[in-house]
Amino acid sequence: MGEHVRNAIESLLNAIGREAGGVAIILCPDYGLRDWLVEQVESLVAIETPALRVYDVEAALAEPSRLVLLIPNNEREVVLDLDASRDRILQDPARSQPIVLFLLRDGDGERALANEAPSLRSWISGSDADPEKLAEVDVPGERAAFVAKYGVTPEAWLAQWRSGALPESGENYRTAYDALFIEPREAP
Amino acid sequence: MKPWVDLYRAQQDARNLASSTWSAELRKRLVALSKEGYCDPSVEGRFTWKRDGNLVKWSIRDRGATAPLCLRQLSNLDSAELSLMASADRNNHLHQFTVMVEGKRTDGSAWSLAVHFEDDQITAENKDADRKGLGAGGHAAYHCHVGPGLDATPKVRVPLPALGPVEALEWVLSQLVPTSKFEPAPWAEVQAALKKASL
Repeated sequence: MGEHVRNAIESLLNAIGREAGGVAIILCPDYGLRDWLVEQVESLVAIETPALRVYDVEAALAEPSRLVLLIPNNEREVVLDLDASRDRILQDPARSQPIVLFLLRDGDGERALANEAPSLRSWISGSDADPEKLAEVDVPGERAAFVAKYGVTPEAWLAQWRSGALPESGENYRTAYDALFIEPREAP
Repeated sequence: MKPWVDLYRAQQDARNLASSTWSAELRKRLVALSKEGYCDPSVEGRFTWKRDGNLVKWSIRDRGATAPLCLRQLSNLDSAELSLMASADRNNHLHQFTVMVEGKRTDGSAWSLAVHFEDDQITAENKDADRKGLGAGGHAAYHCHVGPGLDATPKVRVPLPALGPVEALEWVLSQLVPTSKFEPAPWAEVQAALKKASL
């Protein structure tokens, strides 16, 4: 990824907002999460200019004033089409809204982008995002950070919290929320 | 007892959200708050998610941890912080939801408001799921607190109707900023909706 971003939503906002008429790429771990991420991007867009879902490059180019969500059926084909369409995208009427292309992480489209689409690759540099990677909980890392901050493991802290030994403050509710995510989970 | 059972059932049903847009709707309310100058605009990018398998945890975050949102220019409160946390699965089943405001009145005394929707996930540590306390009346699964602090006695939990998380945040904001901009259901619109329904 180009610019450093701290969380999943910031990565989406950065990718979409970086270049008004450019191309942004959102990487997705699988098709199910792709649908979910499409909905997240749609929800980030202002109500006044709802995003348009399209499935091929021609449909995307036909809507220069709409933010289009390009959800390809054939990722490689769409990447190559976009790569060949850079001049058309930059021609008048210049796009006022970006094209947001959804690609599977390590999929055909990302491989084509790396190996067969140099023009597109250089253009989108910095406008790519892998929000799900940023959203993944790094359990060992976050547990170590928790112990460094609180001096006890998340489960030891939560045991005190559940017993009512800790004040019901906003800070402790927030800590409990973070700790719940990284405590070892067992079936009842 | 039936009304309490019905309330608990309705609260359980409220966990099944219609679509994934609920988190975006929460963000829109926070952005609206920032546009009126009650918090920093950076809240748009701070309300984000973390994921562990099928579980998605939403919260206002800062520097890698869940963090409060500082509120400003609230009448009757010199300072206030808002916390917002929710966990749900990818099928939009809401497991847990919290909105909490902690502040200081102009006389320096503490003031808190909190909405809690208890965690319904059954684990070794949470065997009773969202059934905390003695029952669905005294400790409703979905309840709110208002007072000097959540530890202040007598502890009061007010049962909440089966509102969704968006409506719960709307209610909190309507209490913090009691103006027409943050009223989610103006009476004129309520009356119009009632009239339309009766036709």
